[in-house]
Amino acid sequence: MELINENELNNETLNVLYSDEPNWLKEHRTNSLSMFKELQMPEFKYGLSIILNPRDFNLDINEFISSLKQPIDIEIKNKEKIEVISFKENYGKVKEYLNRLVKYNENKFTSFHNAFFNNGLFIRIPENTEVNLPLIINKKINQKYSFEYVVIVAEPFSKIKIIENASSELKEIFRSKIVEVFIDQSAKITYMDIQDFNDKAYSFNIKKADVKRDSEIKWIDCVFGSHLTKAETISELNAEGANVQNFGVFFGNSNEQFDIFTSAIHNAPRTFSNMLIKGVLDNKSKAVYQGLIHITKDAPFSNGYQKEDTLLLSENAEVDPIPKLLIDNNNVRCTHGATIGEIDKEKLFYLMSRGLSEKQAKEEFVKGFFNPVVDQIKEEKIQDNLKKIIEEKLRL
Amino acid sequence: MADLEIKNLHVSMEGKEILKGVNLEINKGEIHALMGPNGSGKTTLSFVIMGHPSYKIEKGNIFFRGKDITEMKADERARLGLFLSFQYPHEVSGVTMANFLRTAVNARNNSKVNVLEFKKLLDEKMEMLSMDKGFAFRYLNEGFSGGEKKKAEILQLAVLNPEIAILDESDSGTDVDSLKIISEGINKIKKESDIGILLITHYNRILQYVKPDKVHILIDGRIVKSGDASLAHEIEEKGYKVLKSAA
Ligand SMILES: Nc1ncnc2c1ncn2[C@@H]1O[C@H](COP(=O)(O)OP(=O)(O)O)[C@@H](O)[C@H]1O
Ligand SMILES: [Mg+2]
Repeated sequence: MELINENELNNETLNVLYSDEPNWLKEHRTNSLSMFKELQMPEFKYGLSIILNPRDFNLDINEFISSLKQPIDIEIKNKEKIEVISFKENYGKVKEYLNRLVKYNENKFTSFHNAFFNNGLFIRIPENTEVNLPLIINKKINQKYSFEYVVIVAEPFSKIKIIENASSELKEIFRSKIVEVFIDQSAKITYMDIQDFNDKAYSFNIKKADVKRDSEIKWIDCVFGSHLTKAETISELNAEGANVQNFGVFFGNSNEQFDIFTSAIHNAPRTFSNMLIKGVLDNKSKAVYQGLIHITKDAPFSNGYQKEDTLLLSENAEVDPIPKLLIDNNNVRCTHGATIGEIDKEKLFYLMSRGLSEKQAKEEFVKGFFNPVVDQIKEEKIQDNLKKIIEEKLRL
Repeated sequence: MADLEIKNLHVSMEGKEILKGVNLEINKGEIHALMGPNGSGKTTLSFVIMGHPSYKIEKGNIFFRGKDITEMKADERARLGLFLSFQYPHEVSGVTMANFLRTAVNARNNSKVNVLEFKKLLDEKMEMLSMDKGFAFRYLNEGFSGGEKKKAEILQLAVLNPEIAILDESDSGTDVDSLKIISEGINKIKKESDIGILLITHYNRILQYVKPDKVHILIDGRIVKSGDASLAHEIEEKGYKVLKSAA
């Protein structure tokens, strides 16, 4: 089965779309396109039980071109103290960062992305700048195709929270996003990614951070919608004292299929990783969760923790959690674990004995289940917004 | 007809008969103590009155103010005005006491309580039970000590203000200080709202503080004797053995 009908895509397509870009970028796109054609479509098959089914996404070339010509609707708030520009405004600035962490030839989707990305956002937090109000990026994706590139450069001793909200009124969209984050020494970045698409959307999402000395990346990934989501969050701890906090929630309540991968690569001494992923699956939704902590031989005295909990609300929902530790160094401390649970009937009776209907009681459980991640968000308004998305999904 | 009436109740679990024909009548304003050895069926009776779905009612009925509630779900019974303080309260992670109780109060009254009003009510009741204000923001029973769990149950009783409350061993797993606070709390709630209480106890400790109007002895799924408060003293002195022959 072919996910994307790629025959109609060629250099001519690139020409039509991107003829006014600098030569290095045109060349990059051409290479990416030929790589895209060369690479095989990955199989969405996991373990014994789970096969994710990408339907054919029928690519109509005219629709493809017209949607890429029209940039998505972006609203950005609280950017006063930092630099936020689109790639178009200064390709030169972007050039040294592009493709340094996520390579165009990693897989078919990264090459597809690199060939066609049409929305580029460059964010730089200057040295010693601490931003208190979170940078809010609201994206309305109302075209069938969208390829978004985000480059974040956090200079030494800077600090910011970035919150990206993506939603779409269209049902059938193909959305690809790559985020590369460069965190220089003693900088602290929080990146919260909220995706609430319709149940026919495809979402491909890769985020990768290069974390330097004594700096921190905190991810809060919220995956709520789509027909198929493939999301990867990778943190490379590349200097002493680097630290990653990787939080995530996923919530499916119809036919959603989630393929979620989080990883922390410890490449330096005294680095620290902590992952907590909480998923709820109802009806026929499915998820494959893979978590990897890799402690290389260059990373003595490092700690890595990962935990993944899934709550299944229906007999037809399925999850396959695959937590992994790769340890090439003896002087480290690591734990990992995954749980799969259902709502405890005795607890349900307990809540119902207080007057809550079965549905209300289940809602309380789900909200409570997500809470350890939701609690990570300290801004009341943003936390409320997230709770609202969860509540709305619970009511369906 | 009594406010809560249990008629010839036979209950089984996984094919095993646990309650073998229980009759009991409780009115508002009355305190009934239910005593009995371990495994006699006290908790089963409390669960069945509250509508636990896992037990099978083989025979008999439960009436609340003349209405047959034998088939009713737990939440409907709660909204009618029944309450159960659990022998082993469950921990519910991620759900704070305050939020949960507000949802419960709204469900019980079928209306939305004003947030400030609710906070006032909760603070007042927590103070009555000498509970630290921080409890409101802790997750329901999570990491609570035995005594704290039982206090939290009485707090829920106080806030939800039912007509009839079943208190399943509110005295077990508590230290002496908590037991006193819990007992005083129960007496106060009783005085303020004139609720009816079925006080289940295994150790009788609580009967020092909460004085029952009636005492019933449950042995092997049957109430073998009922009497006034002096029956509890008799049991305390002689144990259940004397009654077992009667069972
Ligand atoms: N969920 C259950 N599954 C199987 N047996 C049960 C269950 N609940 C109670 N029983 C049995 O029913 C009897 C009465 O138990 P219970 O009502 O808990 O007594 P008490 O509260 O008086 O100690 C016991 O023999 C117990 O083993
Ligand atoms: Mg018991």
